[in-house]
Amino acid sequence: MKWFLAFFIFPLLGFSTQVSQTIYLNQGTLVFDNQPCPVYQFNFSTTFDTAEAIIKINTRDTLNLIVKNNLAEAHTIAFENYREITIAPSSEEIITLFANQKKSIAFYDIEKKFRYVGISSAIIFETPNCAAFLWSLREFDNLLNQEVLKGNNVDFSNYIPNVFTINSITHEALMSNSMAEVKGQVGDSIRIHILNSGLMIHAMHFHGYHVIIESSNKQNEMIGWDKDSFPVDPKELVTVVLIPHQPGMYPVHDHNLKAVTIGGNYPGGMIAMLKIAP
Amino acid sequence: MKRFLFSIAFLMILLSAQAQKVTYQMLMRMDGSHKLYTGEITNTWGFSFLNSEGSKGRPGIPAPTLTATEGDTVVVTVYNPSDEGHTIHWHGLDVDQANDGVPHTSQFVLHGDTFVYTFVAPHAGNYIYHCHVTTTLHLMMGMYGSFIVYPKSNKKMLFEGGPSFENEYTFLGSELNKNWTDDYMSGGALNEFYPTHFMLSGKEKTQLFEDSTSIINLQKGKNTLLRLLNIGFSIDKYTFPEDVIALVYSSDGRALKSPFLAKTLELYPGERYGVILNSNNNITNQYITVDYLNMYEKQQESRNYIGINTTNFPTSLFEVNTSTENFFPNPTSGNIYFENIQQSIKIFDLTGKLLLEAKQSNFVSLKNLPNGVYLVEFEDGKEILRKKVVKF
Repeated sequence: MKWFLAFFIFPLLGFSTQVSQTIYLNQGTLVFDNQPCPVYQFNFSTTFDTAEAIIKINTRDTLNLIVKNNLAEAHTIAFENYREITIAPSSEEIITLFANQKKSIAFYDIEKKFRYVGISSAIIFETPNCAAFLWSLREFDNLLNQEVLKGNNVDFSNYIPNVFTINSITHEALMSNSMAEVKGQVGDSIRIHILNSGLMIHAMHFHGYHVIIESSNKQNEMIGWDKDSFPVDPKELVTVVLIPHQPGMYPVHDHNLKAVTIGGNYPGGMIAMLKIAP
Repeated sequence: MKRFLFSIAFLMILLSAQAQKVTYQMLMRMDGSHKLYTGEITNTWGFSFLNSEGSKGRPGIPAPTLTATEGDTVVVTVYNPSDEGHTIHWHGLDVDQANDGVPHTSQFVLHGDTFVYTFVAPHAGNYIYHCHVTTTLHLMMGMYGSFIVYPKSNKKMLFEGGPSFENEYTFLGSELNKNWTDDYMSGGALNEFYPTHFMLSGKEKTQLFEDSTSIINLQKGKNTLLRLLNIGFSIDKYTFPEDVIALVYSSDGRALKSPFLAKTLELYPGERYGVILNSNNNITNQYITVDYLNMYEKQQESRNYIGINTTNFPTSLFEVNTSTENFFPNPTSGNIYFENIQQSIKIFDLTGKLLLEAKQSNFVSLKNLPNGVYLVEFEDGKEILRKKVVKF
């Protein structure tokens, strides 16, 4: 009996840890090309931080996620394939999430205009020490953001965004963002989760490599395909696996080339980098 | 000894046949021109072969299609006589960093410079090459072309072990804005690019019916390969006719584990597909529609048609006058109108069968005809002219 406990029960208990994480729904301003762009955003601190909260949890861990709403109005957040939580102003709600295998869960405001101004992110469940990254793609027309945050209704019918971001930052800053800049070695199995938090479709193109599309919450027909270019629909969360066959520094970018600009100038916007060592 | 020498010689021949060197010499140019379906000429940039006169001495859209066989060493020498720096990015070919054509991680080819790109042609399939300097603008100006890699054993096969085919057609989707191409300095913010012309391998609207190489000759019971590529800013949505079996076998230069039947196929910017067409029926007067959808809620921006037929098109009927637009609208869902009264307006199908005739009229109705491509013959008192019209 002792042997049974030692070999089977104790290791399972050891692998399954309760993890508590608090994220705050904040209001703040991002500045792109010297233009202010007011946003709502999930942060790890109660004050606004330009860095989005991206939650990475070990598989088999149980996540108790506390979401605190620092905004002036109530928000309903949908956790895909789980449930919705509605959080009143200055209140908090808790949701418990568990995954016994590698998985990613998108969550976002159910109202389009609030998802558009930044209430969207993902939780990734990965095995410990796994090379995993998350790119949250977003685009803004900074004038529309101002209208949404003033509480006005906005018309998206003639939507022409002028800011394109990954993890709320653009091209140059992406080089120093630990979740956006992919570092690895030849032969590694690198997992990249790509969430489209915006309203437009983004067509991502990998230089230097093809990747295997491992999962998608929307486009099941592409799962298992070996691609260098593929679309990511709004609210879609795609996981791709990159096994580099050669070293080098290569960009990954939206091939709708309007999105590799910032304030109408090139280069900027949705350009991440791969840095693969020999 | 003789047998040994023979074996060595045979091995050397075999090795040289398997991995050859393919060389291209090309120019990067900013003095191109392109004829639009309206008959207007606009300015473009592009790539042309060295010593080639190209289109009226200037490169057109798209750049020449380059080909290689799987495993070949490809050596492309480019010379840039133009005023600005350019590069070539080998889209999807997964070349090493030095040959990737991205200015900050590879190199510029500046005015007066020569650069030699060298790489090994990977998997058989469809690829693209394009300039990667201020890509939004340089690509829109026309600096792109197709790159096709054939399998080693058989050029009439999509990939090793894949389907074979009788004939093949390449359609490279792209767009341009005429105001920008007329004067590239006049274009505004790059995120506000809006296309005015939607092309397939540089052709649009009626141009796709004025050149028999753009009309698919689908032989009943035999495979035809469509190489579909999209280097534009929009989604290219192909819709195949009911009588045509379209099987998608590959994407982005890789075989799909499970080929699938498609009634429609959407190509997003940068994507490529290999599609085998077949038909058990004779097909006349049909077409593949290509809708251009924007990247925001897939709103339709434009449409093109690719003619498709199982019989040979009568060549004489394609000798048409294309100098001016004589009637409108084209494509049409009902009437076509002429500016002046015509003595006679005749509508033929593409086998030459007369279907309709209107005399002393400035319009004719195609409303009761099935959707398809027709020939309009009209007489303006001076000469008999023929043009194609698409009914949808």
